[in-house]
Amino acid sequence: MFRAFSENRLVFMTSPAPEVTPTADAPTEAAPSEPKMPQQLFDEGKRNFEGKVAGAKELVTNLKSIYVDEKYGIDKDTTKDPALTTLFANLDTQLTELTTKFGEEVGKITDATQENLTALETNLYTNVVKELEGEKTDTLDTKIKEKTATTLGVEIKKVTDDLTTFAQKQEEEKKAASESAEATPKYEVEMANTLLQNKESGTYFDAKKVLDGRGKDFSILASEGGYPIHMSVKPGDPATASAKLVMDYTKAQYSQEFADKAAFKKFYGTINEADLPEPSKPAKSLTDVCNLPASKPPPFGGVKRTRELSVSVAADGKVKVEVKSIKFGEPPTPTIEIDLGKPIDQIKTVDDVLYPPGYGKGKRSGTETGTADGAAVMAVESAETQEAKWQRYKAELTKYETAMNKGDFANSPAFAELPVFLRKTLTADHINAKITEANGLLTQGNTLDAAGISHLDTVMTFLEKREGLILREQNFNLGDLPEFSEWKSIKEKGLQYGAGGKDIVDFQNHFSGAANTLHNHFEKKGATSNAEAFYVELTGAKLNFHGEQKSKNISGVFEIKVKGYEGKPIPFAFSGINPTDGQSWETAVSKAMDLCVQNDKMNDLVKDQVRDKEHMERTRRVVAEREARHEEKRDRKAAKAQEKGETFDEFSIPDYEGNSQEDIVEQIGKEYGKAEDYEIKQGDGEWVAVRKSNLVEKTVPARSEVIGTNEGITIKIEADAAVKMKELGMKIDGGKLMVNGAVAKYPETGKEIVFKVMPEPTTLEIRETDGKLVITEIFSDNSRVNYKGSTADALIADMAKSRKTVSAYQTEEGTILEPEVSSGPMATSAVA
Amino acid sequence: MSDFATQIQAFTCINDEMKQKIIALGDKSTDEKRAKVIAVLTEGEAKKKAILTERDAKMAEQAQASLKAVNDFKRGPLREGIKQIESIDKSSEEKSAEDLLNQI
Repeated sequence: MFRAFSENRLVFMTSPAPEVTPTADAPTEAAPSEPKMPQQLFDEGKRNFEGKVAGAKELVTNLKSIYVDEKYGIDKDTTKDPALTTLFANLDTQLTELTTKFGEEVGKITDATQENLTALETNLYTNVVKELEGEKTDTLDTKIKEKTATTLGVEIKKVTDDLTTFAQKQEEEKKAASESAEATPKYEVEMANTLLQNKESGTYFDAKKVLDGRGKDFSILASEGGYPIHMSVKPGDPATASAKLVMDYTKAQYSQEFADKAAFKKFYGTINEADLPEPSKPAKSLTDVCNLPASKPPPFGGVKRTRELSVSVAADGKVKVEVKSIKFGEPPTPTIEIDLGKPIDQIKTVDDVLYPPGYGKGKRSGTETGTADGAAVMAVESAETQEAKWQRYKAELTKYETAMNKGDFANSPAFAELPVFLRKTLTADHINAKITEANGLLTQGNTLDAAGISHLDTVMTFLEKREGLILREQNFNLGDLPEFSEWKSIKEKGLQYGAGGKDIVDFQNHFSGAANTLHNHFEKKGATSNAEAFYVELTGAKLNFHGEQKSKNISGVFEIKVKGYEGKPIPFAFSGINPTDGQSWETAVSKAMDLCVQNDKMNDLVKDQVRDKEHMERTRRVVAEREARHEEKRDRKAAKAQEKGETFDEFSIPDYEGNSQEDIVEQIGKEYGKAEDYEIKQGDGEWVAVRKSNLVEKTVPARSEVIGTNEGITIKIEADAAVKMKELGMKIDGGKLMVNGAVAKYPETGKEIVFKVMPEPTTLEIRETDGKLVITEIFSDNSRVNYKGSTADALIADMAKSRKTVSAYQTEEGTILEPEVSSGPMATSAVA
Repeated sequence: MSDFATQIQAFTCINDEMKQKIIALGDKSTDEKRAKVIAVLTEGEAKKKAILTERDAKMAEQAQASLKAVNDFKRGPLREGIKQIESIDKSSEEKSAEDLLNQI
């Protein structure tokens, strides 16, 4: 199909490079002119664009007046009116789309700018306030110390030292007090005694009572069943091995009530406020998934916890949560086992079951990672609240900041062995920026949304993984840094971009010098857009890094291709390429790319691809024009046949004819088409094909089922339905919702119905009139059909009746309308 | 001090509410710290300018791309449309596609 396939020769090059002749078609530079400011360019461009669109629109309108409306009698032929109506409507739509797209793109740029400005503002403010407030406290502290020293007649250093000693003593005293005061609440003791008498059969305990006994408020409502967790002791295998405390959450269902959304968020930081149902609306099923903090003792530390919730919001804003299930691990199971550290026959005391190794008594340290509570408490609490996590983050950040402020953060010489893209995350600047970013996010506290929280977690994980480096820990091993472990793997396996490797755009980021060499070499001067100017792209690269320090060299393959060319890329292999500066990997990669673009064979093959691509485009244009003529002919004949009450076979004017199906597929392929775009069938002896999108839709008997229990319920577009519409690719146009599918919701039951109309590209326009939902279907020829109804039944029945290509069926998500077309792509569930 | 307030007021990279709070805090601070704050905000001002410059460049690029799109439309679908009319209406040959397109 593509002649160039056979010419895809592998070009192999080793260093040193041969002399390279510059390409013959060196571009001529345009004479310099007065540079214009970007704002001015935009204004001019916008004015020009709007002028041209308006001009084109006016031309289309005038042509329609002459040839369709026969105004002034300039043209009197009415036979072509239907075809011309469609033509002008299509042209007008395309022009409107140009304007809409322009507005959308400008909007995107404006939004992104606003986002950057807001982030800048927040960061600046945070930094400035920190600067000034720190000063205030420092100054005050110093003044108090000075005054005390003067009064005592001693050096200020003495006062500072005494204060430090005092703080240490105080801490020790606090620790001793807390240890001695550590008394297990009565309920837990009762619970443990019952368990000791029924080790293997176990016992249920009420987790709410455990929490109450510890003075922890989980906003759990008292209910008859409490919050039951089953606890039992499982013997080790063999019995002399450590026994396990088994916590079974199968029956752990309870309700919670929070005063408002903010209180809810402290417990359920992973759930977005936007996902909560509206006040007084039916409860919504939500899933809370998180990994418990690694600082928790095993097995809770780092484990994945999944909670199924049913959440509703009362009219007064109170948030009610029904916890339906709690599961741990992957796959999620309702049981979790805690190692008791001794065989079952040695489990004799209350402390043996309440405080296994890693838990408990005497361990209260007052730090954020303390494990003061017993296993039962941990099992109940089992996650730090957002609040506690933020406290921990704050403490960690202070530690990191103090270390970074020492200013002696030095790059290890080993860093120079890494490529820049790995090394740059290990610089003081990068780490400081991450600390600032995390501080900025923490300042926003409870106003952070789920995405913000997740971003904060990501930034903190980044810092935590580099803690040893940040704190200059003595026993810290460079190999533990993610950058070094990645580098180790790259050196072993090589670095791949494109299919099966990193995203190809990463190559541009990692080796911008090489990427620019490619782009600049194949640059078409005078092009108006980057896409047009840089017409050759890198589609894949494999880099192997050999040696170290002064003996570095690389080998590998680049694959380049003319943009839009549909054949295979051209590979260029290289080996033994040394860095041109003697040390950096980047200069070696740039050099390899330079050899690639200067290679005569490569340039010849690129020229071949350009030629083939142009041939393909020309051929496709010719095919499109030919098929448009066929379509017009078909329309004309179909209209005539209809007038006479006869049927018309669209395949009597085929786009392709042949002796067999294979013959047709081959013809389509030769003209750079895709066989799947055509409906191919055997006509009277001969095989014929017509492009599917040009076929008139087939009508099939309507099938409507289900529905029917919702009489009297008015369908309204709810706010969250609109959200779902957005997910479906909704376009808002002039206040109307333009969608390829729609969701409507029954307010009373919360049940949703989903409309999805196929085949695309039919558009649905949805609006509400007098409390009724009206759906208008707009076909590709701009004709419209309205469906309306005040009940789901009525609406769907109306739609199914008129459209005749839709049917309805019920799924868990709701009612789905789909065309009953046996061939061609079926609609997928819009809410899947 | 009033100098500090005047300087803060002149910045555009933070909002008015923030400015008021910074001025109030600066009131109780030292000259050295105030100078540091001015330096931070001066840098912020430069960053803001860079963001706006980038936006302007992108907007200009977008305008050019849209202009190209409308030109392509003129040369492509619109030209084809007019040719179609010409083929229908042989009497209007004097109104060639090029003539019409040149008017817009």
